[in-house]
Amino acid sequence: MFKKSKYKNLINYVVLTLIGILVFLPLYWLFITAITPEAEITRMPPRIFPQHLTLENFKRVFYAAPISRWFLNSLLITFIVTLYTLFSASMAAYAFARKSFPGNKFLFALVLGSVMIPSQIVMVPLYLMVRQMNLVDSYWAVILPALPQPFAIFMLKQFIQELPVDIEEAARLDGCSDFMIYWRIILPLIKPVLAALAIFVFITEWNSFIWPLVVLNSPDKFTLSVGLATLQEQQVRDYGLLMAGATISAVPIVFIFFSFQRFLMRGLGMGSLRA
Amino acid sequence: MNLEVVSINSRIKKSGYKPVNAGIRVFAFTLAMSSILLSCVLTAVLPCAAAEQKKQIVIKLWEYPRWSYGPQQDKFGWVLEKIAEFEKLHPGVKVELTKLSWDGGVQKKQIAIAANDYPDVTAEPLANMIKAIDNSVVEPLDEYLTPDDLKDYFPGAIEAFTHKKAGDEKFRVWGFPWLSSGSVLFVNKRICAKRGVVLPSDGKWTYDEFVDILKKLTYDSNGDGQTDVYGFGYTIEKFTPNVWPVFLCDGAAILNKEMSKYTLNSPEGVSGVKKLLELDTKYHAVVPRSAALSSGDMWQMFAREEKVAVAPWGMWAVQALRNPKKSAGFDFEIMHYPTIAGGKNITFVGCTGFLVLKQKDPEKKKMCVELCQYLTNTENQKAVYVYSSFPTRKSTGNLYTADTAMSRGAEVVANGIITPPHRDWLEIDDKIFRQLQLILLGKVGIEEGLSAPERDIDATLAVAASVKKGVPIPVWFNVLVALLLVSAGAYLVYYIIKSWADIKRNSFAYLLILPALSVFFIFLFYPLLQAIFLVFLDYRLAGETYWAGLKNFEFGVFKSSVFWISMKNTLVYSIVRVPFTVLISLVVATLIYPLADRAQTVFRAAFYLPGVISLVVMAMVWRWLYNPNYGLLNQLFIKLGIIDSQNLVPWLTDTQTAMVSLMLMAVCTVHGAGVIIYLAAMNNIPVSLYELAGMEGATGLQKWTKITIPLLKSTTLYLLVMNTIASFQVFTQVYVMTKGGPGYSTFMAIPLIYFSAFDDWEFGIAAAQALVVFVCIVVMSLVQFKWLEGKTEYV
Repeated sequence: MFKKSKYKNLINYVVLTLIGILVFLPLYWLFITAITPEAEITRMPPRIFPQHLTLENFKRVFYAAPISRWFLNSLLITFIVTLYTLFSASMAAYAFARKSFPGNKFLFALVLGSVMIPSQIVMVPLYLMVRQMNLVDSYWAVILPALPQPFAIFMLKQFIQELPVDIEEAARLDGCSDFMIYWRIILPLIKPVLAALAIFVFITEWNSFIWPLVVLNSPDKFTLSVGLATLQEQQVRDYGLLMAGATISAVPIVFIFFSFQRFLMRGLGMGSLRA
Repeated sequence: MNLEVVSINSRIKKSGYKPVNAGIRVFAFTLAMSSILLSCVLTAVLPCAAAEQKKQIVIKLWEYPRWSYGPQQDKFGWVLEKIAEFEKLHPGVKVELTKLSWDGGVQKKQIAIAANDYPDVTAEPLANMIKAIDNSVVEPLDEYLTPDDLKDYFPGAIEAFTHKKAGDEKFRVWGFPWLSSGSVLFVNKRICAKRGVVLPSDGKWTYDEFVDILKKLTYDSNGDGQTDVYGFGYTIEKFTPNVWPVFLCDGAAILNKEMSKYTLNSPEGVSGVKKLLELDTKYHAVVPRSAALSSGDMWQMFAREEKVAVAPWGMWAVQALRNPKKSAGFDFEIMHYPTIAGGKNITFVGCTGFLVLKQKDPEKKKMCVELCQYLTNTENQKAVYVYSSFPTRKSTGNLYTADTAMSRGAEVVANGIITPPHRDWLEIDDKIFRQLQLILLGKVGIEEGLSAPERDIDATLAVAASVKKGVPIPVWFNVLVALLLVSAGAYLVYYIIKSWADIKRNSFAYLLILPALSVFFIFLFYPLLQAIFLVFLDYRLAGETYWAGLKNFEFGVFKSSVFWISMKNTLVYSIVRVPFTVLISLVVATLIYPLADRAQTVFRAAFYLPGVISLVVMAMVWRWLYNPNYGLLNQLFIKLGIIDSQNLVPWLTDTQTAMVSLMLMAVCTVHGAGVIIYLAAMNNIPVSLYELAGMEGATGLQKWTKITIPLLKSTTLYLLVMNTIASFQVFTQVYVMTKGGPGYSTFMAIPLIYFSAFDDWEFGIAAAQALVVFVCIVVMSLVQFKWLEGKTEYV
């Protein structure tokens, strides 16, 4: 049996590596371009590895703009949105999945339906509202409209639905209050999905471009994605600058990803169900 | 099972936990969250209120990045310096600069204007502001232009900012002209020298001379038996009439003088386009599939690789060609566009100027005007030479006396005409350029292609001509809406009263959903409702909404062939993308699942990380990879011997392969989130089930199909629905990579809505289209739900 499982896993490794290379190809080109001197970037034929490596693109990005300020702006906004989403969505998902209260189906259908709305159409009324609240050109103008994350509620509900009811019933029999069930039982059990969600929301909000662009005017409030866009000129695209900016932008996400990775690991929080 | 549950309970009890009233805890929790939210909102609002007390004139200036200036090489450097100078000259006046970006800058402006929150001063060409002018957002400036001023400006410059506002009788001037530029033909003199070609010394050539020279400049440079240097290369893109003068040489005009009829399909138009087409089909002097290439691609070929000898560009190319970082540094010459015997030299010019948007305070308005005049005065216009543009004032003088290229450019541009200054020009241009692509790619005949948009364009022109004032919203509509809201409210009250017992019993549940649903209703649902009402309205500006009845549906959905094409394309795209994506996520997750933890980490990261990069950047990366001549993919294929350099895969540049390319990109960017979600769900399946099955003799495959897949039903449903929704909402890839082209081959639903809203500025039509798309998505999701949802119980 050992031989069999080793052999099977070997195939896994090979196939995954092949697919992985394909998937990673664009990313590789991106990072390589960021450290390639401008003159070499578009020289043909394209090389696997550039002749000269340089950090000049990064230097240009930092020199040209208040990157650190933009970075912090993005961080603050994204952090608040992610935190709020994690808690509000998990609470709501628990209610939708486990509690049969009047309006459950209807409200959930509303939530689900709103995922399907093209966001472009909501922009003008939303901007009007933000303006009426006097929030244009503020962090809250970016944060507040990003707080509703209907798909997060959807995803968590699907997941919570799958959990065996026995544990909750037993806990309730023992006198566990509803909130404790949420806090002590459900939350730990959905840690993997919560982690996946946290990563996803973080990335989506971090890379969000159109709305912050529309609603922010002061350069010192720009998020990273908006700020980097202002460095591009109209006609000839500056690939080195672009890719260096994208790399800088990717760093915290990679960091977040690796920090949350362990929650996605098999075995954590699953102890209650394992034989 | 029971044993485990008991052990949990004892663990909880042992921790000394006392079941406190849950309600209080949750209440406290939600109270804390809402108060945090509230205080944040307040702290944002209050400072704004305080700021309004200062007695200063604050002018909001929105500008794009222009040329690199100053020690910081800041693209806003020049305007910042001028602002500082202006503030010194006018104490008590403060100018706040909002730095725009070329990506999305126009859209940001449109939204701001539509919401009545526009800047005070901005720099744009007239074409981008015509709709704003017609909606009374821009201040007319005739009273500020003295006769001396008018004489100082080049006549074309003033003309470029003259427009008769809808409903107005007079033509007025709406902006202070600043810099002008135009399209010219650039010729690589190095290639000419190699081929012994001598260009006409006056910069003018007839069509026959043009053809002759182009043929000479097309050759095989590396002796491999295949032509790799082409005489001519051009692009056909949105709002970029660079090559149009070539096919207008026979005297055709796009619209007639009154701008009431589309006239490009006249005999002159057909023969002109034929001339352009024959450069490729008859004389083989044009880069293959030139019409489908992007300007980035063409720049690469012309300026960096020197594989194209002649190409049309705006005057900005002069600076770029002299920049060793942007080009190969060859000597170049500027030429007029070819003419037929006795024909006129023409080219397209554009003029950017500073406009003042509607002001309430006359003092502030005066200052805004002064700011514009300061930025465009004689002395300051001298700076535009860095941008290789032309000043619009005669008094600034000829900045280019020593510069032969710029002087020649000035000569060419002096014959410039402007694109029809029609308020719907952007919409009309969109239809024309796509047909041109199809014609020049050989997908459709010349007459057929040129006549295809005639009906739509004439209809647009007719509507524009007749629209004077908006129709006020009929009373019955408002009453109906009010009734609807009231009855919805009444039903809600009734329902609450009816289920009061249930509600009380489940009060905790409502507390649970409060944080999520409150922001949902305020920031998503309420704007959505407003957007839905737009479907019946003619929205011009906040506060200026008129009645459109069912016209939005009529023009935007039913009578719009583009709408149906985009729906079909979106459907095709989704049908391929969604199942493949979910399947691949499942397969990858299955492959990762049994591996050791460390290996899992590595692979999980490897598949997720590409999704971490912003989609905009990834789309740009993929577009570069897809470049037929230089992209990594084709180069790889050549190295692997799959194709040779004469049979390159066209990828995004052909109507038949563009859609496939987009699908391929979607499928190849393995849905990392899907993999992770599947893995998380797989972790929830107890190992005991597998072991039990194994003991009963089930093979790996059987375990997979009989245990894993059924238990992943909920997750699969989720991923299918989400991917369908995402697939229907695809936008960034299309916008960055193809803009819906070539022709209409990759035109999808959301780009259509986006273009309707922000390019055509038809919010009502966009809303109607969005509604139909939304209904389609809902239907598809419901179908998937019904098909897959069922209760999944553990054994």
